[in-house]
Amino acid sequence: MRIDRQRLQAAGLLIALLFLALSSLRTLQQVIVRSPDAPFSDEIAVYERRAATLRPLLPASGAVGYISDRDDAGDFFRDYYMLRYVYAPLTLLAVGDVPRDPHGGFVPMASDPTKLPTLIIGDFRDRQRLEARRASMDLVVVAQVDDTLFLLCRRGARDAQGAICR
Amino acid sequence: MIARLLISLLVPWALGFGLVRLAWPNQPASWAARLLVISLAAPLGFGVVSCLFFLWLLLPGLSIGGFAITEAVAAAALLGWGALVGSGRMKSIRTAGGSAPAQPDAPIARLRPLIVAACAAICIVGLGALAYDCFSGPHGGYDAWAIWNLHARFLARGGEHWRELFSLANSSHPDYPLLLPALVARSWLLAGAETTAAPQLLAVIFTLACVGILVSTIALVRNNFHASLAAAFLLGASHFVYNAVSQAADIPLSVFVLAALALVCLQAHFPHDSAGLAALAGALAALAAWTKNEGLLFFVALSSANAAVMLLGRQRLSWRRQILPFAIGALPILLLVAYFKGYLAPPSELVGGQSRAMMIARLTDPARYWLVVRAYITWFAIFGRGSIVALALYALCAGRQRGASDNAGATVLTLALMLLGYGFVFVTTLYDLAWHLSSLERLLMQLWPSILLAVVPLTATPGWAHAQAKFKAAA
Repeated sequence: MRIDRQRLQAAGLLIALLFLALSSLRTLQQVIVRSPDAPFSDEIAVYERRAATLRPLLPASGAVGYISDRDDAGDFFRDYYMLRYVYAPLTLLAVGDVPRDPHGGFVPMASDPTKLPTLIIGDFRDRQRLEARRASMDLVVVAQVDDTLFLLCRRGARDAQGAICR
Repeated sequence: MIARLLISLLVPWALGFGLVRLAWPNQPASWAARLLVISLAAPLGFGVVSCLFFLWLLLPGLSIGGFAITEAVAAAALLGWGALVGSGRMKSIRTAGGSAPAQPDAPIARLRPLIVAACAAICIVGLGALAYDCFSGPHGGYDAWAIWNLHARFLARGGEHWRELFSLANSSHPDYPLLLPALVARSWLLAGAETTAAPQLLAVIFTLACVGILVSTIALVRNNFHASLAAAFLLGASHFVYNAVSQAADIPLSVFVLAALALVCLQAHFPHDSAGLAALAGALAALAAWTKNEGLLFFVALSSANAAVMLLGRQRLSWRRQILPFAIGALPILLLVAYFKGYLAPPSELVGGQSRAMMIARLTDPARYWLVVRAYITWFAIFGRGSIVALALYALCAGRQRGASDNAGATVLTLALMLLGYGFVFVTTLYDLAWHLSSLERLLMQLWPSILLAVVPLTATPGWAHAQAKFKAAA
């Protein structure tokens, strides 16, 4: 009886160690082939470099607006979260329509449409939609980082340095 | 910058080391006890400086340089005091008049080299994957930059406006406690630069502390065989490795949960230091509540489980040597958590976002219970590619060791209450239930080290595991 127990113990240990060895080798392989977090981390590093251009034009704290032409909730929230991380501790108040997040997440909105933040970060892939927004909200482009990221200002309002946006 | 960052990480460890030496002056002279002290020092010290940094934010007036000097002086004083108490030149108040500590019955026989090599190889591969993951994702996982490091940026960059953190929308979870964000922000301010090395190093330290606490505790309460096996199970579980350096608060929480449970277990083995160990357990359990909302559930579960075990007569708890020191260790941190929850943080959306009628409707819907039970079964089967199944299979084959149940009842009951608590949250959640249940992976990961602490020591040691076992038995 004692021998049976010892054999059972040996079999259990052997199975456990074999399983753990294979599992850890598979984990190592998966981490090397495609690190689960690498794509996001790379993207954040790119966002950080892009954001550096707008940083001096933004206030140190408080709120700025955020407007985007992303209709897909996944794209909108991911880009919003990334910019919020880059520009923290600024609060990004979403301006205009926000796609509904099926998982229940939401972003802070500019509560009164007639009292929008002076500065608004624009994230547009479609130039025509940017122009349409500019016209409807009477916005001025203060700075342009690349083809998609813009700093907009309400015409006639004062920017972070106190200058009037024209 | 790197030197300043390393010093900023060394000071909390020194502070924690001093505190552990003070609370546990009669530790045995074994590698396991030394490793346990070194490993416990990290979460305790980092937890304490996180609280101090939060107080510094609340009470402005002291510069960050002044804060650093105060912290360093406190660490040096505690380290010196702990060293004096440990070397026997001073008597700790709690142990004055106490006799020699009880030694655990850990066999000192050498493990068979094949077992050592197999466990070491699994651990090395696991640590290798962890290191590779750490370097390939400097900003950490999604939750790290969308929640934890975002909060840290508010604290570090916000100056006097740091409270704007609490105006963030629910998707950023501004109600989450601040242990990790405060630690990262503190490291950035002390290093003088916002380097990704700070959260990365903190993640590595907490992960290594987790391994150290698990291995050393099991070596102290059982033997080297069980300690090696637990290390292999911990680092062989893929979900643990994937999350280890993700820079989210799940690993720190798992360390505080493990450390508190480990200290509760050790009280039975070191009765002369039980008051100090209970105080440490209380502090670490409260620090779990300062890490994540799940930590609050853990504190309640641990306290309830110990009370239940005592009431059922399975274990005697001393008011003076266990209950009171536990409460004293926990109280200052719990007051901080209560202030944070009561005056700063918005209510959790899981609690504040729904009416009583909605909650009752969810609680009386059997379909939701079935979904939760099914998800539990699925995740228990697939967690770590089947690590829980492999552990259960091994435990069945190994059989139970007679007499190896010191405080195991309280540990198992605590974990069961945690799982029940998570289940309640899922049943009443206002989110899409199927989507919310995917977080079970993280929740199981938080408990995985503690599950190993509860299960592995209960299994029998095979007679052939130790090279000298037969010789010792004959002797």
